[in-house]
Amino acid sequence: MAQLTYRDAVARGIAQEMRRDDRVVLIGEDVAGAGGVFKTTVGLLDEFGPRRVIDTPIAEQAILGAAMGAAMTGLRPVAEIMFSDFFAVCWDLVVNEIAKTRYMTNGQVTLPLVVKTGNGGALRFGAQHSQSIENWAMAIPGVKVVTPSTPADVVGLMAAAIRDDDPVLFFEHKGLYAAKSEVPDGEIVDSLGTAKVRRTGRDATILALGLMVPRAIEAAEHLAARGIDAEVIDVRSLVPLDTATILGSLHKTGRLFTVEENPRLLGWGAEIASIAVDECFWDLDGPIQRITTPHVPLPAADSLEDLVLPSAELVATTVEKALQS
Amino acid sequence: MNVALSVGPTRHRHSPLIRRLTREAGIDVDRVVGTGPGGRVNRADVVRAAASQDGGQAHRTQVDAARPDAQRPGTFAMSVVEVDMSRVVALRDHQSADIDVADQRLVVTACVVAAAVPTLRACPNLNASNDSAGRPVRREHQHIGIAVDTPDGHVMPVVKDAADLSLRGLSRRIADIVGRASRGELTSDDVAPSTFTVTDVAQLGVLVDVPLAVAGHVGSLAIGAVVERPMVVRRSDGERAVTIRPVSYLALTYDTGFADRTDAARFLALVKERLEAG
Amino acid sequence: MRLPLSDHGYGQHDIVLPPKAQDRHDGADIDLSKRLSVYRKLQEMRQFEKRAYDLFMRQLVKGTSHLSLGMEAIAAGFGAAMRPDDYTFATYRGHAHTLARGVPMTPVLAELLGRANGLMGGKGGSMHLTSVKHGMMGSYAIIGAHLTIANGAAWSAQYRRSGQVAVCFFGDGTTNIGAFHEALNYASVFGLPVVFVCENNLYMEYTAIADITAVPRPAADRATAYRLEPIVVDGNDADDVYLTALSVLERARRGEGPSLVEAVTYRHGGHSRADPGKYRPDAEVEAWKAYDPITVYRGRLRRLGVADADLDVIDKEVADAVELATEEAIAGELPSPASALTDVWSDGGSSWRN
Repeated sequence: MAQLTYRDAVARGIAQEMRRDDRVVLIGEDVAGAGGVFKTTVGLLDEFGPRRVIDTPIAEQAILGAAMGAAMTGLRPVAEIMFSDFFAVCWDLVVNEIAKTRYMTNGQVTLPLVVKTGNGGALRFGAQHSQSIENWAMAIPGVKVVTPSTPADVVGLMAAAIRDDDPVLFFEHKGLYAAKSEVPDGEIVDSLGTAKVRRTGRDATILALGLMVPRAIEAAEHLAARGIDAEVIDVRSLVPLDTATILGSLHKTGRLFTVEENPRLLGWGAEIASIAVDECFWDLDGPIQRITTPHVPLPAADSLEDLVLPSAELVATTVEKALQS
Repeated sequence: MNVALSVGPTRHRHSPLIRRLTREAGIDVDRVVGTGPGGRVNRADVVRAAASQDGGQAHRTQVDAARPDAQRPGTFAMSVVEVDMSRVVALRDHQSADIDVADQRLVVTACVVAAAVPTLRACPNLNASNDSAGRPVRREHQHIGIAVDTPDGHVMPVVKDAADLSLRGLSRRIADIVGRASRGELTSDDVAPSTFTVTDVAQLGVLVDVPLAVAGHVGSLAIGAVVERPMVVRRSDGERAVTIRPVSYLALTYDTGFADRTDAARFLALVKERLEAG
Repeated sequence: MRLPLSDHGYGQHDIVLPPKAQDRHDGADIDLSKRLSVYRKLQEMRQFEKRAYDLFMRQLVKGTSHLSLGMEAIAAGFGAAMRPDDYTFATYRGHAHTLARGVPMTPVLAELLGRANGLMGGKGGSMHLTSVKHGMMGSYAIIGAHLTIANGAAWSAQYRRSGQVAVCFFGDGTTNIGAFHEALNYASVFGLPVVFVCENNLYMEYTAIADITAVPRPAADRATAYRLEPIVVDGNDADDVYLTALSVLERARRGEGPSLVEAVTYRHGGHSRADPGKYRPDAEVEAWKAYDPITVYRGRLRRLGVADADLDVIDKEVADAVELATEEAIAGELPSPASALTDVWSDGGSSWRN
């Protein structure tokens, strides 16, 4: 066991897989020589050399196209899109090419690739460098979507993503890069499509993703002091979605809340709320409530950004108020 | 038999979870004491209420997705609606070709049955009667039992497949079976199982009453006396005015183990609409 | 502000004429048997494409179809030069490129008809023809995207040291989109074994390419910006295409990096089935129809001593093959309803939840 930061866990997960399979290669802007602008790929160039760890031009479409072409023809590339906001620049490659090609070719093409990206806010980078876009990805049939919230999950889910034969979008949270916690030694391989209960409880189910997970856990502690025993679930994987864990929890508690960093409309919680109402209507002891960033771009000023991103306090207040009405 | 009288439709404030739990437990959600915020009924309240029922009835097992499967005749409740009978009375008084019956009182019964039958198709939870194990089961066809008071006591001849009959046909059939019932000439065909019952309780001017032969049926309708009353209406220029209308109360008694007050309210509202629109 | 349609009326731009001489490559050092197989390929592509058109008129081919009538020499010339394990990346106008890699006609036609015996079981359609086992790595409908993907296949070949080359075909309109520029720079920087082939048929969908491109030769005049040699070939002379193809493929195989080839050609039909083609001056259309790649090649073969009767035999064999493919395609069953939900994922399914 050792303490590892989230950012170091990214490099560890990639290295773990590059050691065992030399078809795994890494490309992106500043990922090799500089170890990544967020220092998530430090040490990989030294260990694996310039043939396998490659600095690219600023050309997101070319980067994802290269990853796709290589994945079609025998490699297992990991490509980085530096800030997830930039997916908008190469969304065609994700949505129309990577996501659809296996289906359109009736299974002739397999794309075992991973696109890793720095997602989310709280770092005062302003609107074009801070959005959480995993909900955009969830809407695309043909790509898997994971968002780890702890260093151990980063290693395990990165391994699972690289070993998966399907395209996986791996959303790292920029606001968690410095977070440190215990990670077991040795090889770690997790499973896509699984959520994790971070705190068990009986009175309410709170779903969260990425940076919102520690905030939800903190909120649950506030709530416990006020006599409300909340269950916090780290959703981790939007596609495939672990509905069994989520709905099982709702069946137990009767109250469902989501904490979402994406802007309000069509955030990831909206789909889960819809599934819950459809399949667990008779378990609901109250309305499902989504606690989200309002439907605005993110402001740059720290005081404003802190206001709009859901806080632990907002979560606790919302849940308490709901359970008391 | 416990009866909670309510007039007109009421608003539910119980969560889906509570409604399911009380239905499974066979208890009336309105009789559960709520200890949640603002008197809200919560899970613990339901458990407490279920445990303290007469005979210590245990919770029922998980119900099916469509409707709960009540294991004994449940508690009955009644809902009442007021109906402007102008059109019915007009039919009755003008010997319309739609009606074929000499007894004027039967005109009202026929009209009410004619309104009830399509409504039962839209409210299938009320077109249900007990099976041999005493469990209410939804029925596909509408067989309407008409309560008749005879010198030998009450009988319940049945208009079978009432949905196949027009108003004219219904009025004729009702007149026929009521007539033969009064004369003691009913045959076994006439007393086949009914899926819903209708009772005219207007005798001696009674406005609202529990209809006969409630047991064994989820829904039973009582027709109260038609009495002329002042009513507020809206004129064509939008202004309100007081006018005199013939009014009757229709009271639906229903098994709350199988139907709920929303079903009852919907049923009565639709029947009322049909009777008032003609 | 300069507006093309203020300089001239729509369809009244300066015309571009084909080359006058048809015999420039008569003396090229190409085996007669190779030339005959190229001729056969040209016929297959032409007759197949005509049949596709007919079936569209009979409403057996649904949606839309982008026909390469008149442009066959490029696909045929490259097809004759490529190795079986080289990679083809084509656009939505890809029927000829698919046949060029040896994919049989029946599944291609059946795919256009949306049948279960189609190349992709009816899931992809005309614009996405793919046969990985023939090296036909896909037909792509988003302008420019597949150039970046071809780079990836070339990178993989380079990484695995396999000697394979990726050949990427696209139209003149593609040279103005972002992905083109990203891909060319990327390929050049990494010295990838990829050949970019611009099929310049002088029109970007319904607009003259000259009106909306900053340089006269849409691909060749961009080459030096990416450290590449400008290469222009006569896209209607299959031998010119073939010889150039051999040269650029060899370059790539030797590790000398990518090439950009501009092949000038002309469509006989419109951009797609829906297009009546009113924007092309009649004189231009007539001149290019006379410079039909099949006419050019037949003429050359005749001059080289091949009897017309022998070429007619090839034509007839191809006609019979097209007939058979038509029967087999029309006889094809509809895809099973279940297939609509298969093969999103590598496990063959489409489930997004447990």
